[in-house]
Amino acid sequence: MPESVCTVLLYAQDNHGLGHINRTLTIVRHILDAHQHAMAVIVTKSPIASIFTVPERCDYIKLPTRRTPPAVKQTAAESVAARERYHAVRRQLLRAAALGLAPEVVVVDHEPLGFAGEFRDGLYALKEQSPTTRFVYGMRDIMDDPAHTRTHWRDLGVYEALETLYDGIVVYGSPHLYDVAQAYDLPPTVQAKLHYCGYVVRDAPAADAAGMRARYGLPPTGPFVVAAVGSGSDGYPVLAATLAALRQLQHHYPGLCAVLVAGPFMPPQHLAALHAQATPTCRVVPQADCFELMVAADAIISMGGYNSVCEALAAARPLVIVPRASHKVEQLLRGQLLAQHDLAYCVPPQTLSAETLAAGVRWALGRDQAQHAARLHRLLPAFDGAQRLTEYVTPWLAPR
Amino acid sequence: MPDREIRLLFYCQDAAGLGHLRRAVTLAAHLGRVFPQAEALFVTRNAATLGLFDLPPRSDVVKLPSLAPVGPDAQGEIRALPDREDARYQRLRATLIREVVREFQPHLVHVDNEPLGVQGELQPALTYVQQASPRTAVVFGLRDIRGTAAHVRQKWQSRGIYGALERFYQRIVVYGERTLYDVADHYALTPAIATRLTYCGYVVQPGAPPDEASVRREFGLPRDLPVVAVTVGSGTDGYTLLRAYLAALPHVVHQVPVHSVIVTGPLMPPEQRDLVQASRGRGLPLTLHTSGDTRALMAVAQAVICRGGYNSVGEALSLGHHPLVIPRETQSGEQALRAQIFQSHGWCTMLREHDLCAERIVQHVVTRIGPGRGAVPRSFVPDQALVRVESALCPLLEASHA
Repeated sequence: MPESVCTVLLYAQDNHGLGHINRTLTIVRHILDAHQHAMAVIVTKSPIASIFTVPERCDYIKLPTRRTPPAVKQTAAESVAARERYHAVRRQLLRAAALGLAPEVVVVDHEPLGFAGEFRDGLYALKEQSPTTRFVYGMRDIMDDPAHTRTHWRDLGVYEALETLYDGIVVYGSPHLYDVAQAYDLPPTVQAKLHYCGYVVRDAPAADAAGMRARYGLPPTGPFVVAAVGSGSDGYPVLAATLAALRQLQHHYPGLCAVLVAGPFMPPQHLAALHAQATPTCRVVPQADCFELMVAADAIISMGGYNSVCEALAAARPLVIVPRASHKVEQLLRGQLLAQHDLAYCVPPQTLSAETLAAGVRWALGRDQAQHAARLHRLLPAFDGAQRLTEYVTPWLAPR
Repeated sequence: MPDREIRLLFYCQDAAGLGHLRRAVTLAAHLGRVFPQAEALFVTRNAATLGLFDLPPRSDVVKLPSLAPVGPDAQGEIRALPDREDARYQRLRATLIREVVREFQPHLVHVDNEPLGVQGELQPALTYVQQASPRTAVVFGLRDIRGTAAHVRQKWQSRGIYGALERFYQRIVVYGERTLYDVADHYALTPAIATRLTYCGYVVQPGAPPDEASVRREFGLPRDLPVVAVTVGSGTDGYTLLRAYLAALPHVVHQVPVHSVIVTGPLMPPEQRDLVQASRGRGLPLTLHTSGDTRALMAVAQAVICRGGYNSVGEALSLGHHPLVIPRETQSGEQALRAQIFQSHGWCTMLREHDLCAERIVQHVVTRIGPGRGAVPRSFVPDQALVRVESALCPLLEASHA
């Protein structure tokens, strides 16, 4: 082991999805590859080890969450007290981790003060104890309705933290697509800390359309559609509509074939229902490397999560986005924005049906792939956000 | 009592195996059934074991970080080297555990295997409980055989374990039987500590295993052939046994029509797993798995060949098997001692690694195929053991609410 060891602490807030953890691991791999003397500790609530491989010189702390079903008899006050107890456990673990590791660099993903402010104490205590530690807030460009985010940030004291705590703010996006300074009403002093890194996507797998079709037992020719719904927890309606749309389109597109990826968190009964409707040329699989499939596809159907959309954009294939049906408008905004730039076709969830989705697939299959890719690369020339973030933090990780 | 909130904290530390977390999950699941309000946290550092088995309802995991550098050990094997870990990670774990205890405010802290935790990392948490939360019940869970008496005494003496048991622990729950192995005697416990012992029998997973057809489907087994289950626990050092079994397999198949299933374990080094894959003879009735529900597999098997770990042997016996046990040869002598004692009761057949040969393996399989399984020895009936643990812990939980 080299004599001087640098430590990077990363906070990845994740409740149900895989997005933040996925992005954080991509970033960690880049940083550790570039800095052989560095170690990384990720703090998260997500039980990531069961799904992902953590690289060498990296480990994680898993914070506990309250996994108590609502059926347990409790008064409102008891339930609040119980939730507050877990919050306090997480708050203190985060504080102890920050102070105990005294990292050279802290990268906080998505929530500048952690979920419900759970990292606030830890971050400020670290700032006081370790003046040389650099604080980086890593933000996805589109988070939610900007007005809602602004209110949320005002209530939590995020603007103060961005002013006084953070040394830099890296944006995992492009200013040409979404201006975060304007959206989140960042004051000039905070704007000066902004650093756009571009989209964070893992390294693209080699495109091998023929091999991919063979692996899934699909015909070697005919339009190939790939549908992905992220972790899959709420992807059933999208994939059910996909199967119905593909049935409608079958006679227009001879040889049309598809792989639908359900995702690791899709409820088993939903997966079973999809399996029952699958055909030898429209396959349903529980899990797969979606990026690899997308690179081999002629058209992609995806929900509007950051990672799925970024991988689809990096694959440069015409994309149909069905945003998540949620009170959060993040995915809808992303879908509409890309549709405005003619990079995607957006099917809002309340209009989702076999017909609307079939119209989207027709749009995608009607695109000239080369022209589509050229248009996309004019606006988004690269997907090397992790690389650029690594370059950004490198001065602070030099061996001393 | 059943209506009151109960918070349980399980410290389950595993250096290499899967045993402690599995036992804690079994205990928590049982207490969760008895107390519908109980919530549990498991504190562990082993990432590889997470997600392998479902957590019981109302429980979650706190995973501690470990950043041991990777390099050659004394035997030249490349592996994580905990001894060379930066000291601040050790201190950090100790602080993290103390913070969990302080904020979660458990009614019961159950510590498995290491009374002071690995590298003494529990000391700050236990000191905190003693000073600030004396009503919290602190219980040590001791699997009966941890090594030869001399080995354990020496280790406990040098690490201050006797003092820790005396100072911090209200009760020591022994996962074994006094008639089989008297821990007070073998480990030279002082009378003050010995009075806190409660023997509970062998704690292994309870409940009916899944039905045979679905297990055979899951493991990809033919519908009618008798099954030989070969398991090596987590797999860290299972290669020697698997190599011997693969060498014996053609002779086995020559004598009896059986289908073999090998579970290499999730922690078997990849290069060894590749060797097992590669040395698999063509056309032999054999299925390989990295991991899987080994208990379910044992439940459909006619013959079991396993290592001498507490859980493996306990599960085999609780299913009425008479396993062939090849103990790990370690300094502590734990598995050999267990196999030897169980063999003296006629519950298993022991085969030492240096005696591994095709004849003994063939002989075991041939004898076990046919007679079927026997009765389960009393100490290995899972539900009985769990009820005994419950009876030992209930008064402590009552007192922690007083």
